[in-house]
Amino acid sequence: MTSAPAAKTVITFDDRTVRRFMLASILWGAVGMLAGVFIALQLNFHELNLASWLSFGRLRPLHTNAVIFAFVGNMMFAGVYYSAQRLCKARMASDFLSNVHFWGWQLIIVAAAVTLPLGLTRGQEYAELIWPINVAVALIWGVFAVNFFWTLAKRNEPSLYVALWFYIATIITVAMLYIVNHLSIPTSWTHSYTLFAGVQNALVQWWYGHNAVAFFLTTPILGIMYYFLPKAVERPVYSYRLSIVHFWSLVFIYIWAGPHHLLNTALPKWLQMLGMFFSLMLWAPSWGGMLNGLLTLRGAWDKLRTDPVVKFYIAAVTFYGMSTFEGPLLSIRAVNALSHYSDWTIGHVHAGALGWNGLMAAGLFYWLTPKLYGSRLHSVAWANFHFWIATIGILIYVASMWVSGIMQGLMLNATNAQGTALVYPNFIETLISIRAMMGFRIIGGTLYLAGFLLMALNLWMTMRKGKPVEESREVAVIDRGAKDTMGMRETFLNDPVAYMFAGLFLVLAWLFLPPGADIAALLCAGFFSVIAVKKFREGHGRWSGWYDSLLNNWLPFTVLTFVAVALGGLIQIIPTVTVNRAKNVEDRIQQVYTPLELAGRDLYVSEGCYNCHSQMIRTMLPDVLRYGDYSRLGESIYDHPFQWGSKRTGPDLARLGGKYPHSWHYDHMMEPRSTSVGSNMPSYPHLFTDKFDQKSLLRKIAVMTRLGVPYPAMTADEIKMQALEQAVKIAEELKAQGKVAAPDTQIVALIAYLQKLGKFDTPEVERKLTPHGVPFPLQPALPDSHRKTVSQNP
Amino acid sequence: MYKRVLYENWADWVPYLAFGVTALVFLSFVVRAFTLRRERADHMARLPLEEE
Repeated sequence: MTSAPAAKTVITFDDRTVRRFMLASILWGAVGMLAGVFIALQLNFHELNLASWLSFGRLRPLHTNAVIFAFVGNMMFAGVYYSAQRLCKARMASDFLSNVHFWGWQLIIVAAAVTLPLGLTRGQEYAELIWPINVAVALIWGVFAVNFFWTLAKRNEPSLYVALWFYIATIITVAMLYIVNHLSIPTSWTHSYTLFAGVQNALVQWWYGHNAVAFFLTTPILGIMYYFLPKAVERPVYSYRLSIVHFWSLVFIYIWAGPHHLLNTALPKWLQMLGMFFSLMLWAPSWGGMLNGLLTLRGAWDKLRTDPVVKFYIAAVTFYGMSTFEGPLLSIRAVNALSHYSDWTIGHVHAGALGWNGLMAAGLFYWLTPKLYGSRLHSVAWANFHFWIATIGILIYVASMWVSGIMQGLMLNATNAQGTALVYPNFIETLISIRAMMGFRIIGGTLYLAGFLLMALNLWMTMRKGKPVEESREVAVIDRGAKDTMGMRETFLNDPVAYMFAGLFLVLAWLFLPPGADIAALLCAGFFSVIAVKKFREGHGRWSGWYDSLLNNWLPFTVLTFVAVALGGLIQIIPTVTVNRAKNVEDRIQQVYTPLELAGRDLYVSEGCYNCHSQMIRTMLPDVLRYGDYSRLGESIYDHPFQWGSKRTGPDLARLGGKYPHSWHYDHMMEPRSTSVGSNMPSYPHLFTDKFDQKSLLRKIAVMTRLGVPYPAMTADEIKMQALEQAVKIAEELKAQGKVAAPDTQIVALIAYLQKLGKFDTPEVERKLTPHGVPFPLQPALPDSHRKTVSQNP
Repeated sequence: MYKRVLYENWADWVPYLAFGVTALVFLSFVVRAFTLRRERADHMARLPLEEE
């Protein structure tokens, strides 16, 4: 604000990159939605699993990745490139970097579209892409970051508008989440094992997965809302003050909420409570942001009738409000016991993806295209029609998924009055009951896709009427010395920061110091608070000045935002990740996979079985009655990656091992309906002819050993021989059961793995604690105090 | 360490601590937002609408 215009200059914005990203978003959006409709059809008509590369388990990741990273990603980049240049009053810093960013991102998408159907996957949701693509994503994201921050550094507007804050938070948080969650050790050019296993992997994955929603699908789109909605209605945002509260509260709270994806599981309870607690707190900022968006329309509500762009924006913001109401609701443990693993979650995410992201994208594209091509929208009537069929499509989709999820959840959890038996013991019975709802989903999705294609046609006609234009604008060049002058010293060594950290340190000391010292720390905290208030009263202007300076200095602002998002992750992840291995787990310990079982497990991951099957029996009576004893932490400590799953289109498999003979699995994989009448699972005939990968076993076991899995020292020949010996044994057992399989086929390896599920070793101490004939209680039962008492008085 | 993370009492305090940290930061920004000068807020809100 202290800058003095030194001169004026004419700048031409880089709108070519905006156009490219917009066109890419439309193209990939259509592909992603088409894949969505196709896999919805597959769930109803299993015959549509036409080939191994077209099976549900491989296409579902293609759908989710295409929609998130290709459709919304490109849309986000279009919005960011357009608005950031205008808000900075500067062209993007480097055309070269813009080009690298655009083409690099499209190559990544193509690579994903090729590798996922081939079954090349890391086996974690929204983090399926193989490691070379992960490296490419990190590099291209870095290119985007450099280009963006470089533009901020050479801007001609001293103040950073709130939309830019959201973009900054997006760039640094996505980089942090993506890199940490994709840490892996390669075993080949197309395969790797994640650094984390079991509960660690689950926590890191959902810290990433949840915040991918928060910082890839929400914060950048909120930035777009804060820029484009005021432009569309030609009014400033309703409350800039509210936008400040919205930003900081979202950034601070969102990052903590990941564990709500793991409620009632083996995740430590304090983390579950943390996730639930912070999810509930998200209600306030999310609705603050929604109201800020809606009320921006004050005095211009008539535009809602006449302007399709405003219609899309307002409907999108309303869906944002609805989704962010539903999210915390689903994070309440009791509600989650019903909703988790069901279609309710699918309905929730589609309200967000189709309603919030999809409609925002449509509003953005309808607004941008005429400006970028110097023409008028080809047909307002088509746009209005698009709006209505999209809205109706979403409502049909979401409502059917709500009904489906709640109905199946209630059926799966229903027990008799005594709580001793399930009312619907056959899983398929519950699946058949939701078939009609799954049919309605196809109708809803098809309507939405039809509207999207109509938009593409409308925009194409609009483009043809005009020609690409580059907007030029005369701007005042600001004095370089007047902005971005705040150094690290000035940022951190000042009263507001010092008193906040001192207060925090003393509160921590109060919590953790021994009696006596804790009271002293509390008294000191009170004393510091009084001094802080006094200082604030004396130097209010100085404190405000610090904050105002922050808003004009992108680097300290970015550092503080990073501190905010990193804090939440560190407190959750460090205690869980820094722990060692089996020696620290006193409960059950997973048995190490044999080479053949490991090969089978890699096939399970490759086929995407986790898309429909969980491996986590929750600490809930219906789960225990249906699937067996609840899952313990130690039962997946060697699982790289964990396969707890997030959806049960089929039953949980955590204790599948030994439940059925080999021949049952043989028949089930060949034709699932031969063993489970009414199943919608694909058939896997290729498993009976394709050979399992023997060559890479040595490298895979070496990597597993490096990751801490206690394999004995084995030579390549020993590994191969061990795998073949077990395979021959299974093939002979199959033969005895009337089935024929060559020992080196994939089906044999997969059976070996499936029969291993749920096998664990029990430490001696636990056997002493558990009397014969007494089932394990549903609450974790081995607190230290209890353990000590028992071990001292056996 | 693992068992302590799982079972011991200090872990129960983490949610409260987390809430405290967040509430502290949140409140400080609420105070800051609502003490923002009106003309400054208006200027910031109008940034997207400035054509020059």
